[in-house]
Amino acid sequence: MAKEHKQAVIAQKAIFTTGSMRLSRVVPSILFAILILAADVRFNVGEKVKIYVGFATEPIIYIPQFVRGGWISFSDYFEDREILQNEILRLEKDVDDQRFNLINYERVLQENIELKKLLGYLEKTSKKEFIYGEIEEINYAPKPSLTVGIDRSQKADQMVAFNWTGLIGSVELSAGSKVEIKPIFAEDSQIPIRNRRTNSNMILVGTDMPQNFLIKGLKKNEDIVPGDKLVTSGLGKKYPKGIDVGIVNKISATSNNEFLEIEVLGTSEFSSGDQILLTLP
Amino acid sequence: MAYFSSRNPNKTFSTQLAIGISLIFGVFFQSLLNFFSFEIYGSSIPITLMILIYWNIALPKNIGLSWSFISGILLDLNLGYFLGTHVILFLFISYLTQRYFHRIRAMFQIQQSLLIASIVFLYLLSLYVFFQEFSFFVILAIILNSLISAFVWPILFGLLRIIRRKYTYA
Repeated sequence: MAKEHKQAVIAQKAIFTTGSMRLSRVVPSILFAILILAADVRFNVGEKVKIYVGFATEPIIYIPQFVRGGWISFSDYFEDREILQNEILRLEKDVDDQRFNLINYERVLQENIELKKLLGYLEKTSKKEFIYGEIEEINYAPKPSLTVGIDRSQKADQMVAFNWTGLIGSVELSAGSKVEIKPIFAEDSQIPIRNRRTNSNMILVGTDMPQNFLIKGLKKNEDIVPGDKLVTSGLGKKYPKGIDVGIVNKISATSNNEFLEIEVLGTSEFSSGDQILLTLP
Repeated sequence: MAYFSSRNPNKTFSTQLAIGISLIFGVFFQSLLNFFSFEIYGSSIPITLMILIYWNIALPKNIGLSWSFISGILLDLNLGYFLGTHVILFLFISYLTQRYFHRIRAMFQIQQSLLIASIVFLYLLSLYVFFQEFSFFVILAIILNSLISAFVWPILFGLLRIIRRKYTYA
């Protein structure tokens, strides 16, 4: 309020005050300006002046053009940059999609390889009945086993299981759409085999360790050497005949025992791949 | 026409420099508006006139009539008017503002803005009446420019006040 009052007082005083500028001082200038105007209108004096001024101020005239050009370059730069950024983002998305497709293709390729191998094993079996399934779960405890998903309508009892690396086990339990596979390397598993080189029959015993087997009960004079290939003999009709199961790895003989202890390296990998072929032996 | 006067010669120089640079900037800015066609029916806000009015109100003894003459001539040359057109208008407006600067200074900001709008209106109107074709839309354009000038005035006033306090305070 005080400020407004002060302002009002000043205004009241100012209303009666005039500056030192007098009309007599401005009139000559105005007359001179009118003279210039008349000269310009009548004799086009300004044109020459404008030409000379134009020459003198030519660099200044280019400033707006320079500013405009600079601005266009500046905005173009950012516009191009934005376009490039969008293009990069689009290409990155494309690359991601292609990577995803590649993973899918690789998976399909792997499936095909597995199925082709499994088809090979199918040739070696009776082919009367077979089921394709996919591994759903790999169990390590208390005993190693595989859970395989199959069609609910199919029966998998008494069947043996193959994956793309070879014979991996037999059906332990079948319930609805799930089948539990017991590995061939289970401790209580006994597989009738024969030596491909000598055709002598023997029994392969599991050790509960993957790809690790033992042959027991062979006398010291038995013809067997490391590297001998072992295949299923088909005796007992639990496993099909002629399937590779292992290679003799190490033969040891103790002086106080008349039997050999033979270690066999299994050919099939129990938990490899996704596809499982179940077939009757 | 040289009305420069001050007790301190250094301050006179800095004052004249501040006035001159601001007016030349105004002419340049107005030419830019004209060059980039930022105009409404051929008219844009008369920034040079507004700068001149400010200096006439703020430092009437320092500015005199010379700067009105110089800035008028420069504007005529830049905007392509007959020589002397802006000079006459600027001289007349300078006379009025220097004559009554006490009253204008005492006004509130909004009153000053209204006064500026009136001066700009008359200035643009006189330019149109004497030198260009006249129509209803021209009147609207002049009114619009006057209103824009009224809104711009407080900003310009503040900026020039900062310059004046920094460079010309004796």
